Amino acid sequence: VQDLLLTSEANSPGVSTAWLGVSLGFFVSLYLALGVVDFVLMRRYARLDLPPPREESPATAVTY
Amino acid sequence: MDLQIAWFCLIAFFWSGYFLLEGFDFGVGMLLPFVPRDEKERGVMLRTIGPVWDGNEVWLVVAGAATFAAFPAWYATMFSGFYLALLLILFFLIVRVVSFEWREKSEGRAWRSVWMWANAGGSAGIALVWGIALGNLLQGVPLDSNQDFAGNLADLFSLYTVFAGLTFVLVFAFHGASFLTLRTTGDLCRRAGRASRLLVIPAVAAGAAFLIWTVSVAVDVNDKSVFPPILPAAVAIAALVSAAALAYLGRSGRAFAMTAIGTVSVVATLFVSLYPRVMVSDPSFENSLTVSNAASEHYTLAVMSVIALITAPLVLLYQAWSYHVFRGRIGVEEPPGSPVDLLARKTEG
Repeated sequence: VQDLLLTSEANSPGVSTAWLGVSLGFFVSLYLALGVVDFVLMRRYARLDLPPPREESPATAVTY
Repeated sequence: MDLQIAWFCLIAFFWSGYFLLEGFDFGVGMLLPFVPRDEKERGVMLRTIGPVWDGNEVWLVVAGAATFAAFPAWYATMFSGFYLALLLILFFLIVRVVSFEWREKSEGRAWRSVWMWANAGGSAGIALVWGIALGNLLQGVPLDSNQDFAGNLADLFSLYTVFAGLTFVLVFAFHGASFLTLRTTGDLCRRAGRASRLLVIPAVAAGAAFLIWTVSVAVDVNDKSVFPPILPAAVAIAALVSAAALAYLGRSGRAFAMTAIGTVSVVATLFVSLYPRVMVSDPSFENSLTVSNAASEHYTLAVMSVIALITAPLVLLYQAWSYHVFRGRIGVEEPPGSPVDLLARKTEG
């Protein structure tokens, strides 16, 4: 809320700036690493040839 | 006042549901490196929890959200005080979630092994850290007169809290093994049965010791008498011992029901031992957070109660339905399929 609950007042009092930095860096690098792996996976799947079209049973088609 | 107690009970209920349900999928995850003989069986093990594990995880979100809305002071002190513990839990949750999705994307041995260990390590790690965190609520952490966490990381580790974490790991591994004996067929099912009989003695011994220790901690630091915390503790010990007997008799369904009752009663023992406090302060007991000093305004609790009364039964219903749909046993001979295919097969037949 404007001027009522300031970010500085909402900070965890027991968590130091150093720990905030460490945890932020930790999550940024974790998500970056996972993002790189995901990109490589998607590129590998995107380069695959399409499988021949499957015969869908009518029942399954309806459920989609 | 009464609504505060109701929300305390509701939060205890959410935690119980979380450990009852996610407890067995943690157990299945922890057993991934040990029980299956090959990648095919490992895939079957993952499919026993495939349709349900992320629904189980939502119970944690609900427990956290309910704490945030009903007891903001508790939420604030717990989540900032246990900062590093929660960082670890998030890390384990993230790698575990990814392992479910990515494992089957490649057949390489190293790739499969990385995600198997990510799932097993994540499952064991989350159980361990939650045990330590919940043990700390009762055993007490240093709180200042603002009821903010005034300790450091080392304050969170003591014999009792680390033992709580190990107990969670062992009990969930046993719970997961008895779940596997219910949901698999053939050789895998027999080996799951063997795993559950191997785990039964350490799990029951650790569980019983932890429960007795919990009651004595409640008496020592939380100004409780032995009764009522001894009640859920006794139920938990009785359930775990019967689960042990049933596991040896090969009655997998009843053994699973007993590990389920045991898990819920362990959580109940912790929360009964806590009440009326939600987070004990040690030293300076007078700074403890209680059900009344940590709660939201009556109006907030009233609005939340109405919403919870409407939505919670709906969520319980559809979750029960999803368990009903995926109740069948699965084995290596069955063709793998997406949950949608499985659902289509179930509804046709």
